[in-house]
Amino acid sequence: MSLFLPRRAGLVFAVLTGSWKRLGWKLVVLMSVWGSSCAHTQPWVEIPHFQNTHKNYRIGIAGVYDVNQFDFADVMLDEMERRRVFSCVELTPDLAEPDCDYVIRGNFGFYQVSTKNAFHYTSIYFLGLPLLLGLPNTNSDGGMDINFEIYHKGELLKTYEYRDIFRDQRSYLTVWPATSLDAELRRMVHLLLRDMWRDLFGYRGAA
Amino acid sequence: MIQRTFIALWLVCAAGCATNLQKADRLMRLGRFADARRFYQTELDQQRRLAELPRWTGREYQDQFNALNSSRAILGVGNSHKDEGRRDAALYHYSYFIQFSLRHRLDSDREIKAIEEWIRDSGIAAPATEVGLRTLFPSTKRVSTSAAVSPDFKADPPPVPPKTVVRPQKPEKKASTPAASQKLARSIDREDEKPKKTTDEYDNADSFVNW
Repeated sequence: MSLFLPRRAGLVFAVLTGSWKRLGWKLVVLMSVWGSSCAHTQPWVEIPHFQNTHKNYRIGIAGVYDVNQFDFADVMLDEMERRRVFSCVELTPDLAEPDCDYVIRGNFGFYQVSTKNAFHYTSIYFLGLPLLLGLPNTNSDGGMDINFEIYHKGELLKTYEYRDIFRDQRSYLTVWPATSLDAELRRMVHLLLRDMWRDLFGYRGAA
Repeated sequence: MIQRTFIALWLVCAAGCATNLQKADRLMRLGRFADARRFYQTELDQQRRLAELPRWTGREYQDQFNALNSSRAILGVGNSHKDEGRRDAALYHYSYFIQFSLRHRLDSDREIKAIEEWIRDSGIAAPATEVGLRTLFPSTKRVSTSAAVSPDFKADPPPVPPKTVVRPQKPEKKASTPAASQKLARSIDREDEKPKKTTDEYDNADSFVNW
C-alpha cells in the first residue's frame, strides 16, 4: 500500500505507525496493570537461597487442618518437596515419630469472598464487550490465619502463627492464577520455612 | 423404534452412572486399590472444595459439603492403603478419619473398632500423638508442651513414670474395738513399708495406669 502513496504520505504513515505501536504497548501495559492488582499483608518469600544450606533433616507432617477438619497436608508436602529444603518430608500421624527430626502440625482458617463490580454489570448492557478491554471486573477479599506447631521427638519446640489478608482484582484477561486456598497455604509454608531456617537452623540469611 | 432405543440408552447411561464412592467401593471389591483410591480422593477433593463455600440461609451459615461422604472417602483411602500393604499411609488416614468423625460427631464406632482390631492384629507400636489414634492408644509417652529448645539439644530419654499402682479398695470391716478400727485405717503396703498411708491417701494419690 505504501507504494501507491506519495512520499510525504508515506513518511506520515510511518510516523503514525510508530505512534500507534507505542500507544498499543502503553495500552497493553495499562491493561495488565488494571487487570492484575493483588495485595497481601504477608510477603512471598523466595526459597532459592536455602538450596545451598545444610539440609539433612527429616521432616514429618502430622496434618494441616482447616476449621472443618479437612486435611491439606498434601499441599504442604508438595511445596516442601518442590523447594527441596529438607532431605525427606513425609506424612505421619505420630508427633514423636522416631524417624523424623521434626514433626509439623498446622491448623488454619481461610476465607475468600469474590464479588463482581459495577463495571461488570454495566458491561452486560453492552453485550459484555467492554470486558474485553481488560479492566478488572472481579474483586476478591480474603484472609488466612494459620498456626504451625513444631515438635522435636514429641516435645513442642515452637509455634509459629501467621495472618495474611489479601485483596485481588481480576479481569477476564488476567493470565496468571487467582488467589486461592492452595496459593495462600504455599505462601504460609514459605514463611514457615524462612522462620524455621532462622530460628532452628541458625541460618541468618533467611531473614 | 428409534425413540425407544434412545430412551433405553438414556436409562442405561443414567443407571450406569454411579457416584465416586460407589465406583470406588466397586473397584475395592475387584481388588483394584489404586483406581479405587483415585475415586475416593476425587470425592474428597470435591467435598473439600464445597467446604470453602458456606451458604447463608438468612439466619446462619450452612456448610455445603457432606460430612458422611467425606468420612467414607477418607476411610476408603485408608483401606486402600491397608490392602496394598502400606501401613504408614493407612495409619495416617485412619488417624485423619477418626479426627474428622469426632469433629463432625459422626457415628463411626463400627469402623473405629475395625481399625482397632487391625492395629492390634498387625502389632503396630502405639503412637505418641494426642489426637486421632490416641483414642485407641492411651500412650504413657505424653507429648509435653515445653519451652523452646535448641536443635543441638540432645533430648533425654523419656522419664519413667513412678510405679504407683492403684489398689482396689478393700471392703470395710466392722471394727469391734477402737484399736481394731485404728489398725484398719492404717493399712500397710508391704512392698514399701516406710510410708504408712491411710486408705484415704491411696484414694487421692496420683497414679499411672499401665495399659
